[in-house]
Amino acid sequence: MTAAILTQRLTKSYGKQRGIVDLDLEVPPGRVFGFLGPNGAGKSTTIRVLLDLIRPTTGHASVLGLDCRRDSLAIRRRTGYLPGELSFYPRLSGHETLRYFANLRGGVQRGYVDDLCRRLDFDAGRRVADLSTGNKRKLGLIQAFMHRPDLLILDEPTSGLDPLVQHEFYHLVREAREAGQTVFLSSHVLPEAQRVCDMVAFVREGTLVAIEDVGALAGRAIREIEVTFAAPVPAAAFLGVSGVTAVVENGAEASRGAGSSTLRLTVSGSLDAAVKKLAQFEVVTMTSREPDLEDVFLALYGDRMGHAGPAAPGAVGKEDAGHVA
Amino acid sequence: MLHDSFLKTLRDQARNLLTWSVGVVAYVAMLMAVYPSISKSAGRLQGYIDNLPAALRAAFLGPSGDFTSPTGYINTELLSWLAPIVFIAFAIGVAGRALAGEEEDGTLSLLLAYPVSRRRLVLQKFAALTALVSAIGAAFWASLAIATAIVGTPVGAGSIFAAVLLFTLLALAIGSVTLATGAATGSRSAGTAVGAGVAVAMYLLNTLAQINAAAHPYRVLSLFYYSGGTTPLGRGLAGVDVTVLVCTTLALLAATVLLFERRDVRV
Ligand SMILES: Nc1ncnc2c1ncn2[C@@H]1O[C@H](COP(=O)(O)OP(=O)(O)O)[C@@H](O)[C@H]1O
Ligand SMILES: [Mg+2]
Repeated sequence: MTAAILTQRLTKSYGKQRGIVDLDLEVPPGRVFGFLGPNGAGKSTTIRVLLDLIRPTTGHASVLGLDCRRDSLAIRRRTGYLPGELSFYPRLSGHETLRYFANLRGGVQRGYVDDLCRRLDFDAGRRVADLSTGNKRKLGLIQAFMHRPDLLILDEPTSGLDPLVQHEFYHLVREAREAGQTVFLSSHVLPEAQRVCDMVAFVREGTLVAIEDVGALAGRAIREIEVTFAAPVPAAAFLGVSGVTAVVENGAEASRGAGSSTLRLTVSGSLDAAVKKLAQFEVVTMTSREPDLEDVFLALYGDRMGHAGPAAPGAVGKEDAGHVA
Repeated sequence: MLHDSFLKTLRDQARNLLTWSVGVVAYVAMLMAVYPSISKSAGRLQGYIDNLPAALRAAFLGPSGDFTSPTGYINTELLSWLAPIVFIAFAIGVAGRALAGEEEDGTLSLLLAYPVSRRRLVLQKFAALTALVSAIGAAFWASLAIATAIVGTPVGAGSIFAAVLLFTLLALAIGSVTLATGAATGSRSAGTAVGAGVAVAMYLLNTLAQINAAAHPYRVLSLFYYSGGTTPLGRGLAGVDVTVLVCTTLALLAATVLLFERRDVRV
């Protein structure tokens, strides 16, 4: 089967500024594919090349088996797009906006559009100028889905959506997959991608770090735990503890070399061993949070990214000097 | 009116068009209302004008120095400077918003993700520009033809039509400069500035050529030369004038398509 999206050594530079570098990406058809990376990684740049909004410096990209430059019109006919930076015509109402875009497409079913408005709880009677960011996002989603395209390209679709609408959005994505549509969505939060995607690609500083099945990722879930102790504890105490991939001394006294009253542990997979080790000390508070993507990258692919320092599993690190002071 | 980008642009500009048209009609009506009293004191006024230095007279009234005949009056008060400014300012405003405006507003990224080719979008925006400038022309022509008929001045509707058509073509040519610059840069202010700059430079060149022998040969470089300069009424419609104005516009339109097709769309 032809790939829904295929890029080969795709490079885009903005003058001296890096956009993406030699990106090789293959998105199989009929899947929900997450394109993950921190801000500035090159996600929007890649997407805009796919839609022929910007032109690659070198390399090649095809969508649905069609060349992104030559066959762009055919591609755009079969694609729905939600831009990351979304603007509509402020003087048009939601209805008018959707009618205009439906006319530009042709073949949009009115009933389905109304259906989408209802499901996302979107009031199409209001003028765009009076819509909140979240409501504009809904309008963006509706216009992307309304013609049931073969491929949906959604740039950070859930940013600015409230949780209830996010939930409905996930439903829409699953339905699209069941209907055989391909969904390519970018995100900078891992849990969201894990929730809806079958596969994820990690991109960082313009290059692809890894492509993974989400199932395979689950067993290696990364958590970050910040623990405050009654007395300073040396970071080294957690070296070699199963699952702990990094320890950072985070307390005020960290620079004095006698350990720290606050440690930040990055744990991969089961928390069991780390918790049992923690129990040997007097713990005052403990908070756990989803780590940001950069930390996930370091934990999962630190070796692959050729990163020096606290990237290797079990490494001990200190916060930047500025942070410690 | 939301069928395509052509109709949507007309819809977006409807209020703007109405404002300009009302202004044009009101000014024409006011000007023609005072003409009878001007023509009564014609002798004194013309005597005063004849005593002005020749260069000044030529610059403001054209080579004939005619102010008090109906044709001279309309040329001086309306067509030598006001009409070109109105037509051109309106055209530049519409053309600047057409492509660069959408790009600056951020709507172009979504629009061009639809199955609309860049060439087609340029052509639709240009068609809208043409329709809008023509509408101003129609308002201008109709109000002037009616007003001159009411006042009973012997200026034919056909001769007014010729002058207005030349202005419309002139404004489309200058508007195309703005369209092309906006398409090439994505900047509305760049398009506006270049369009206005070209218009002012060409106007000055044409005026200078009327009073300065050294500049005279260069008048052919000014589009105002082909739109009748300071005395459009009574010039008639010459094939060469129309051809130069239309061909300039078409060349700029082709350039707009080429420049726009090659560019990265800004976020
Ligand atoms: N128009 C532009 N001009 C210059 N640099 C740009 C432009 N667009 C993006 N970049 C740069 O390219 C890199 C990738 O940006 P982007 O694709 O928007 O990242 P993401 O969508 O992953 O946040 C960033 O470093 C950004 O600064
Ligand atoms: Mg982005």
